[in-house]
Amino acid sequence: MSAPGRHERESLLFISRRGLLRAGLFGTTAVWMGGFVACGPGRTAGGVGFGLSPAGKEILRAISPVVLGGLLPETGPERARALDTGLASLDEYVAHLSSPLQREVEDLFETLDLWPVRVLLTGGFSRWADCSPEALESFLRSAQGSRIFLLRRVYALLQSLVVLSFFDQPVAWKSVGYPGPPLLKPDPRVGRVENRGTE
Amino acid sequence: MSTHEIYSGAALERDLHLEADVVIVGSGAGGGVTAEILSQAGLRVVLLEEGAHRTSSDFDLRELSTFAKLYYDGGLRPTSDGAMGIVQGRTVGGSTTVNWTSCFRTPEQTLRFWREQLGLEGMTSADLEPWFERMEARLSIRPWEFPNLNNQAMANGAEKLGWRYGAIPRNVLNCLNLGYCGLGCPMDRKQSMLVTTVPAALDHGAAMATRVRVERLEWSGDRVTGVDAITLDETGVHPSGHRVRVEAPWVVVAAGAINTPGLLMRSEVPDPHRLLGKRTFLQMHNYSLAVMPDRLDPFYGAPQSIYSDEFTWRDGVAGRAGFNLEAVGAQPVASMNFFKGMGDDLEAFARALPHRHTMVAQIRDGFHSESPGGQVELRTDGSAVLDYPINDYIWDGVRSSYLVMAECQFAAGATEVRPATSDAAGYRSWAEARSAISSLPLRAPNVFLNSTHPLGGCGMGRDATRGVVRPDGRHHQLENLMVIDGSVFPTSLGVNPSLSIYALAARNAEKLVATIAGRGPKDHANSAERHPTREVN
Repeated sequence: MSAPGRHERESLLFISRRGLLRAGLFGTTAVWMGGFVACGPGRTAGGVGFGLSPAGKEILRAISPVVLGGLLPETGPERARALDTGLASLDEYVAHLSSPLQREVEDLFETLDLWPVRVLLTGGFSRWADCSPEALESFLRSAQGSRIFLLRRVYALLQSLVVLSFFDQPVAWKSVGYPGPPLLKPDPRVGRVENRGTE
Repeated sequence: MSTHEIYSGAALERDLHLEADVVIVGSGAGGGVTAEILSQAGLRVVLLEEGAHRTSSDFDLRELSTFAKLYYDGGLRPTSDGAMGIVQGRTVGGSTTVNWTSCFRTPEQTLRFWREQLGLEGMTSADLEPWFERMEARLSIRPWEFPNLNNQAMANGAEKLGWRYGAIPRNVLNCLNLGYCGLGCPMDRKQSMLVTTVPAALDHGAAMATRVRVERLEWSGDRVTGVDAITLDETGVHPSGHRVRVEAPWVVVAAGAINTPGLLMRSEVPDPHRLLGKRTFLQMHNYSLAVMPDRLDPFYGAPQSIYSDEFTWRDGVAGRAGFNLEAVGAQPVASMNFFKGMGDDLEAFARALPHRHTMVAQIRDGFHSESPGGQVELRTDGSAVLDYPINDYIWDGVRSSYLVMAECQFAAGATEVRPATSDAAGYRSWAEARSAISSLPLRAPNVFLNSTHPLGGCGMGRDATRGVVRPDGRHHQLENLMVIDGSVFPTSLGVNPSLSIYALAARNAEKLVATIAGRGPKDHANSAERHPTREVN
């Protein structure tokens, strides 16, 4: 299959796939969606590479109950603890991703946090934390089923981040019937590699 | 007991300048085997590794932190458009530290294709047999006889349908059947490079520097003259401010698919026929998620022990996309990652985890004109990323393998089967599944695809117009540069690749030993030194 044919076939609205790759997926979305209403605070420089941004945490906290349904503990303190613990693990996970992938995650959240984008996606002016579960669910479902690759990718990323953060925790294991990892003692008969050098 | 010479870039407080006979970039399947063979032959080896030196005492069997620490991009390394993720280890031992121990010889069909279609010589089953035998002995590879219920269910389905299937040979010694291969074996029973070839090389005087990222090979004329790296902090993300330089008469790059061609591209090595980074293959994995009437507890027991190659070559080697089949067992995070639904759907799916039966089809690529693979590209920061467009050839393999997996799972007694795409529902019978899957919309990234088998990008070829390296791993243009890892394969393999990499690495490392011995002291820069490597200040 020739390269031009391939790109024509996969073109997304008026933006070519190749053009998107060059600009970075969500950097482009920011420009594209922000451009609809010609405003937005713009991207902040620096800060990439140290875990989740405050906007990221706010958005994930908002959508977690919608994604996880009845799996989240119902009562206030337990629910808050499950969300806090999950976000803390996820924060550390993100901090170990390569710079380009951390940049992509950060771009995603920065873009979603632009008010014109919020209006476009959730149909209201509320901050993510204040959106109704119905508005959030409707946004997630339409992104998942969208004809636009970029929105389907947004859904997949958001859903994955929530799943990663939640199912890593013992509180989740109980609800899915996973007894947890075995408790093991190191076997002294097996040789170990120890660092005896300069490390 | 000898003291091992190990440096960590995260702890270094100065630049490091080393000399050796051979410098190896990467400590995984290719680099580990090469390091052991060269150091046992008396050569002074320096091993450079981007990951950290984590061992069984660090392996706490927790998923998310392990993915963060032992895998590249946490196991989600995206292709350039984010349509799928690539799973690669980034730790001492490379992917062998976290793989699921499935060790197959390279199929005869693949070797014949390389010989007849690509003109590769010296790569018949008979040529490679001694190397397979050697590595099978070294890594204790033998068929596993105690499948867990998850794998047994797949065997039951295949048996009922009259398909070919068998026990997977695994590289384990006194395995306790815990099921945590993907999180680093906590009991050191998996015979990964971490506990076999790397410590053996260190015992023979090899030096290792971890948490260093090789930025560039410096070359001049037809020779590589040095390897330049930077040190990384504890996370392995940020530079920690020092440089590491290694000079050696021979340079072996073993950073795996994507990163090996990426390093060669960053170094702007000669590439007169524009082959570098092209034909990178993924043997793309797609999944089928079933519910069985009885508990399987798929999170325990060897995750992979039964395979079927009934459909790998069904339509001919160069025909429609073929795939091999395996069972998948994993802990909650990895298991749930296959499912992209939400709300009540996700809850119901999650609560069935003990009854979950997951199958994977690995779609071989590179054997057909419509299957050219992907292309490694460099981002503006110099990091490597794979551009891999999913075309109709691949989608055909996805659909036909969804069908086959559903049929197998229903034959094994499944009460529900759901292809791993958020556009599908759970189906209650084979008839329902067959009809629904036949017309299912297939689109990225709703179809969950990933790959634990990135291969190619520095393909072997008998001459410079057909490959980046020769069949013995030597670079076609730079005479003291070798590539010894999964990036040298000219197609995907049709099986899990680890044993193919081990065996070819052993053969090519022995050839390098013979070449160096034949050339005499010119290539033995430090042969007078007793110290394994020489630090130069």
